Amino acid sequence: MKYDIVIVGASLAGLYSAIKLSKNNFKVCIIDKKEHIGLPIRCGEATGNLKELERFFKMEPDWISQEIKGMSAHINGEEALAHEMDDLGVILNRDKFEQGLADKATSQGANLILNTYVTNLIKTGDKYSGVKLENGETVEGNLIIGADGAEAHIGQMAGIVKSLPSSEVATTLQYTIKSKKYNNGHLHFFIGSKSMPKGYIWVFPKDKDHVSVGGALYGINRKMPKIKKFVDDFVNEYYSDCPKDNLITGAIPITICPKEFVKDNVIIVGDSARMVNPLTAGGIMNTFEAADMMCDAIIKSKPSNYSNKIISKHYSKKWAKMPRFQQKVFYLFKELVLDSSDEELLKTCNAAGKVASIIDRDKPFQFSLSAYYYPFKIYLWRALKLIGILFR
Amino acid sequence: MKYKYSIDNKICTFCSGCSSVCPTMAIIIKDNFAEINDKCIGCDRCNKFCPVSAVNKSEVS
Repeated sequence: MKYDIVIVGASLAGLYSAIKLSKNNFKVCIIDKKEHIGLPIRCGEATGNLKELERFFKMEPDWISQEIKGMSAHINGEEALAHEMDDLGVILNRDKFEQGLADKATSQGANLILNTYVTNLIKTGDKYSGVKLENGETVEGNLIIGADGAEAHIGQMAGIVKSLPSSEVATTLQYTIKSKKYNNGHLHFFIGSKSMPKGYIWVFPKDKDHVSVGGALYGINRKMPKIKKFVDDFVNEYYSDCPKDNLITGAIPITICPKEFVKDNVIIVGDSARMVNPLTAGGIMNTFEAADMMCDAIIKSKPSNYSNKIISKHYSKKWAKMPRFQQKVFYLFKELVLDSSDEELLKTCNAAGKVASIIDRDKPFQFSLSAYYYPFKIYLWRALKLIGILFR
Repeated sequence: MKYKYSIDNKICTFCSGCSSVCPTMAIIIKDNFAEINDKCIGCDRCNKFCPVSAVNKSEVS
């Protein structure tokens, strides 16, 4: 069977691209190794606000669990920052969200193949022309989109990205816990040398009676205990008598994305293109933004028989210019924060409180300047040392 | 000394994290199935990564 576009990975990037491309009359096939769309959930489920999400599609009420009311930071158990804020973001019902997106894509004619592993790319001449499935069948397409998450097998097979190096991957682990403790609609972050060195523990609201308690450890280090120990210690201290279930784990790229996302008719997007914010390890909004840009580039490239040059111009090069995605700045902050003493973290939280109180939502530029200024003031001497990262 | 790596499917959460750090794409993870194939070069990254310690390392002569 021959398609215009073959998408590997039916999660956010893949499904959104399928919706947008099938709407523009492309023949699309999506392939995923999972048996069920959206399950099991492997996500903290917090993301940007409704206004931002609705730039991409209309959000159905059951896709969202609740709105985020604010943000709190705790250093070694002591509250260091608590800030109420409107429009900060929402907590998704990620399974229903993805299923809703999949329904939309298939209703527009996209073909969805589940429970099928893609084993290889097929090359014809100097371009890739399809994928080989585990059952030996092939699916052909003019373009192949690798939206297969942090694994990035498609990107690796095409030689666009490499596997994640030990220092540039965050190990994450999360429980769902039945409790009302810290279930006030805030995103709670626990940092500090005692709670969580080299990372953070989060408590996010899940629904009225449940919270998601998880942790992210930045970088694999033989000398450090594994993330499970930190999260288990935290759960034993704060939620010792609460029922916990649904242990999930994952790997998040905390690196800088490659300069080129397109090669020989293969395009990568989302986690597989390392489009995650390396400071927060959040990636949902970036993924939609990138997938949208990628689809526009594909549409523009159609008259020239999907010229990789045109796709690169309107996708890879355009992405690198977007100030919002200056990953290197966030990467630098990540290095600084991971290297901070508890005292410096407290100063940062106080500064963040000040920044938050003067944010003018209508002037995002002003926000970004002040948001960068305060941490730089605190870390100036170290920032100078690390500034080389910006030129990497 | 050479080691053979395998994944304990009873402990594994099938998150594909080890597969993300594997430099040779030697790890195949599906919904309820995890396997390390003969592309493995024994770099130990999956073992160091695995949050639930599901990777077994055994000596081979």
